[in-house]
Amino acid sequence: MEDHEGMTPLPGDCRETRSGHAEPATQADGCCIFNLPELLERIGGNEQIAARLVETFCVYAEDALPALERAVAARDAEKACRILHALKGASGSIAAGRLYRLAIKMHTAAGQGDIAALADAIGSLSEEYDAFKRVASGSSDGRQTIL
Amino acid sequence: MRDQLTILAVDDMEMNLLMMRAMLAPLGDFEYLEARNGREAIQLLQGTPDIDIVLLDLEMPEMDGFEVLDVMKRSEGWRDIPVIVITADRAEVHKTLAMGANDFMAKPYDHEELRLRVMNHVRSKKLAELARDMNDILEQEVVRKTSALRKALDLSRKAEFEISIRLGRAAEFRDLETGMHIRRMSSLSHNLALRAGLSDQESEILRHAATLHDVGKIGIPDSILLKPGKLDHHEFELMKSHTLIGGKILSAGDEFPVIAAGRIVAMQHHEKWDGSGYPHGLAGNDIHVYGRIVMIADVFDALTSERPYKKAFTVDHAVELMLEGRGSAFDPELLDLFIAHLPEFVDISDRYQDTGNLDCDD
Repeated sequence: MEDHEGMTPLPGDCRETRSGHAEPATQADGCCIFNLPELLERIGGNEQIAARLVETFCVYAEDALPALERAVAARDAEKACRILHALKGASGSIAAGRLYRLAIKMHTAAGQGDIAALADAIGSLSEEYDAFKRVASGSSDGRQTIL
Repeated sequence: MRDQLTILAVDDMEMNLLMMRAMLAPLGDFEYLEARNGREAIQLLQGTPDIDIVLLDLEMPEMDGFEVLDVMKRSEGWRDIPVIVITADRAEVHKTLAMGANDFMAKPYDHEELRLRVMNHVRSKKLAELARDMNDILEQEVVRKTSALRKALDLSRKAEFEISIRLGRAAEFRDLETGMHIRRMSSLSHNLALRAGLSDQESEILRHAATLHDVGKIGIPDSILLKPGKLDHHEFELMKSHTLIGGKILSAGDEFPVIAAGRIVAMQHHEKWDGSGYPHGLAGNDIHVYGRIVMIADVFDALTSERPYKKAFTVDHAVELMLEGRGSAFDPELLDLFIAHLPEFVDISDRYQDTGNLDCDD
């Protein structure tokens, strides 16, 4: 992992979960798909703003993911790198932990011009985004509802 | 200094702008300006004079954060606005700090840290503004006081000059000489001082001090001062004491340059180069240059002026007589200098000719 390895815990990492909110949706590796309590803490507990943030993120991601696919298909590592740079920052900010982790890995690969690695990971990225949407909208386990 | 806080957030992602605003909300009442690219940021900076801090994303379309930072740090008006760079890449941190960014925050950033950093930088900026304002006020105050002090000093100097002139004139009123003698003496001495290489300031002091050369005559009895015939030995000894009386009148005035120089002139304008003068028989360079200069000016004016007891000598005759005293009465170099520029000195004498009127306010 590039810039955050050995630094503060990753957003969405369950080690970071704060009390006072519902337990975040996690997977087997201990990383949250969406750490809503952490997001709420960052923005002063305002759920309306959290909902707007998630909505805004989704609007952005639904443009960014197809654009990334096109860039990978066109073997345009530079463009892919730019898109992943933004996706990395946005997913981290919104506490979409798994998406964020994958975006970091892919951004590193894009920086190295490793189109093959990007092509391999792009499906997982879409799956992680879908998982995020499900959790964020409460359609996964019902524990988190923000949309 | 304003109390309201104005924050400019620059990011091409709507979500990031929204998030920053939410994170900063606990700061209370503040104006939050949003720019979605560098160009918009510059436009907002141009249109908003009181921006306190800029939160700057780097990767943006049209004009990126590096360009914005570069423009800001080159601008006189925006250089002091703190810029916190928001980045997900540490590699960009060094570059932006080198470009003048004040701080950075790595995405995803901690909300408390963001607020603390914003407030710290704003506080520093406000303190710097306060210090600058105080400096401006102090500078203006110093300028005002200096100007007042300069005026007071000028007035004090003018007063000193004026008192010297009037004191000299008072002495002349007791004598058979006229007020114009004072003017000629003053001007001849000033001119010769400049010719002798004295500074403008020294020469100017001598211009005023020369008027005091005979101030001691105030203390000489009329029976001697106005005696039409030749003075006997005792009378002449009393007459010579005008130099010492002048010295006493002008004593303890070292802090007043004209008075101090006037004392030298009063005491030494009858000292002779060969040591045969009075009151102390000083010789050569032991006689202050002021005394040597004034002696030449005084004798030249006395010779070329009409007095109740004598006609005015011609300039040639006066020079002839003075040359007889070269190296005995007069400093030879100063006398040579005087004679070398004689037309100028004659011109000065002509300019201040006696009119018979003792009032000489020309």
